[in-house]
Amino acid sequence: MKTLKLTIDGKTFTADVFEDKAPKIVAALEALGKFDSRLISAKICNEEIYYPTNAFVDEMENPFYDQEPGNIGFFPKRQCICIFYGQLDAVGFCNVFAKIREEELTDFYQIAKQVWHKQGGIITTEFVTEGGEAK
Amino acid sequence: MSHLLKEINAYTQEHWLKEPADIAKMQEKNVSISKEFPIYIYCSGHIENIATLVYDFYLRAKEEKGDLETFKDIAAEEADRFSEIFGVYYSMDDLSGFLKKSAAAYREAKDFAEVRELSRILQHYLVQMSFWVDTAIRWDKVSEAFTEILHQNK
Repeated sequence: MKTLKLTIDGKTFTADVFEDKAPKIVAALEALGKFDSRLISAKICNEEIYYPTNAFVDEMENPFYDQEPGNIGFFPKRQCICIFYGQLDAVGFCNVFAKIREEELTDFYQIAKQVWHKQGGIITTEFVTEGGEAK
Repeated sequence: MSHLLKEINAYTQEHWLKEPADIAKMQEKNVSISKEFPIYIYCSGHIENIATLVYDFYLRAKEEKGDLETFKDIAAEEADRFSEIFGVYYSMDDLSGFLKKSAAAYREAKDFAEVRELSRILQHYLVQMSFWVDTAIRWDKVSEAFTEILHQNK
């Protein structure tokens, strides 16, 4: 089973990957290997953080307008990964390809909330196949 | 064109985690007259606009929509216009320079495929620059102060 590992400030979070629902996005992101990026806070739609990637997928896959906390999406127009972590006033469709595990959401919320006060922190992203190696 | 694409892409990757010099240059504008805030906000607006516009160029070029020569002309004029804005308003010389070179490349593009590829690479760079401009703004403090000002005026 494939999962997504996200590390912020030394804390690692696990997300389940929906490869069957967003295969092109997952393949494009996985092809990047382990990578670092800088976190940004959403300005209009409240409790969302996002960060740039070098993946380029210009199609919609598994798009959702309303998001649940923990949903992780890819936004093609800006090639970024968006993580929805709480209250949200959605402003557009985002392609959901993973979701942070329920039991880790409370801790993730605490960290994500701080991005509004300090943008630009590093997030490390990597895909992991359980029972296998990180990519 | 391929040289320019490599140059833009190399710059984007070099400044993936390292702040480009353009940001410090932008931050120096208007310091002497204590009117820095409009620089940050206007710059943020301009970079969002051109990044969105170039993504639209990418999509239209991919679909081969419309007349190629007219399309090239519009894309080149917009790239030139924003090149001047970023150079004159914000002293962002690298950004201004890449847009100037892109304007020339749009004019010289042989087909939709070249317009599409230039737009894709340029837009990715512009998006990354928009993130750098965004992170230069203390949105939490500005929002707090702005809310206070609004309440004072009521």
